[in-house]
Amino acid sequence: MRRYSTAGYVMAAGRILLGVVFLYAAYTKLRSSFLLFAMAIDAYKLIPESAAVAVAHVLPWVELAVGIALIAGILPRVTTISASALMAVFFTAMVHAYQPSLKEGQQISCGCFGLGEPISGWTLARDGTLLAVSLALTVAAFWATRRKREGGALATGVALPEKS
Amino acid sequence: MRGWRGVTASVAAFALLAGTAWAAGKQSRAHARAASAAAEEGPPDKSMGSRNAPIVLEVFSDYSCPVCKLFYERAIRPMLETYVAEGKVYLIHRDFPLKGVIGHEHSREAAEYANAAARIGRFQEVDAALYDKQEVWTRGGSPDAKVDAIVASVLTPREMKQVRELVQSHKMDTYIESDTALGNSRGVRATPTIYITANGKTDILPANLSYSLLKRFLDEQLQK
Repeated sequence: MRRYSTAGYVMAAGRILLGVVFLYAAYTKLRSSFLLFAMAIDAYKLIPESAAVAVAHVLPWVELAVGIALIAGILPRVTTISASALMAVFFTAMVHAYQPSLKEGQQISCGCFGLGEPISGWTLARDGTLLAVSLALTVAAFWATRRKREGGALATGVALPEKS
Repeated sequence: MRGWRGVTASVAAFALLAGTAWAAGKQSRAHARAASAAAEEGPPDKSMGSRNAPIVLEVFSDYSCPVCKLFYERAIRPMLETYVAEGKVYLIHRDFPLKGVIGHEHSREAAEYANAAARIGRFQEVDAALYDKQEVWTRGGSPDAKVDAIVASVLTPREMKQVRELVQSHKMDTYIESDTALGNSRGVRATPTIYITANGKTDILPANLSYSLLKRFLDEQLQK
């Protein structure tokens, strides 16, 4: 049976949490017309309308795949890097669109989990935290792979360079 | 003979004029009666289009909010001439005046006038005027730049008198508050918040949407 250290449990919890968030985000978008999500992306005014439509078609499926892979622990380095890249893009777009001088009632919709949630200090803090979690998971995934390789190298008797 | 002809023509002309004036007066009196009867009835009708339309668009709005104006210009105005006129979309305006926000000091007042205008059946004209002249009345200043003056510019003096009476009586307050309470109960936090109901499903639309995407969405829903 596979044993996890405390850090391993924390990382597994983080992976599942992030996976659930991605799954929920995908669900809120896929249950409605993709055009609604296209309108939300277009509202950011960062990309042309045709690109917003293309992104609205593809992104919910990418979120779904990343969510499943995170929960299942498939290809940890690839999935955590993908999650971090997505979170970094979302967070940057939100920071770009957020206007601190405006009240919450005047901000554009975040579009994170469907529509109707304006960008606010809370949404920025939430997405910032999720970005931090995904980055930590990415570092952990690479660290674990390295440890595994080192362990594998020791187990197979391959000599490792001595520490100076 | 010529004299008699002249008299007959004058009498006929007078009768025609008198008849026209009487008919106009009767119509005006009937209109005034209908308007004052409407003023005593239930909530003011701030909707546009057919109630049986397959798509219902409900907009929680603040007349001072620039994005609400943008949404009116980009989406509502073109929809009024097409989807609403064709009975495909039923538009409902809900008042959600934001409190304590700089630049929104006259939001409540504008909502009161819009509700009063709705009471006398002139909501559409006043709604359009308030958005069209938003930059003027939100700044205030001279008497011509006040909500009252903007509303007066699209109503007859008789209608304006009724609207002023309704505003001064504060009878419209209850309807603004009920719209706001409805918005709060649904979790409205921003203006405009736009609910779209089609094929038994309600979604929220982003405020600064592009009309071409909205049009695609409406057509998609109408085809289902």
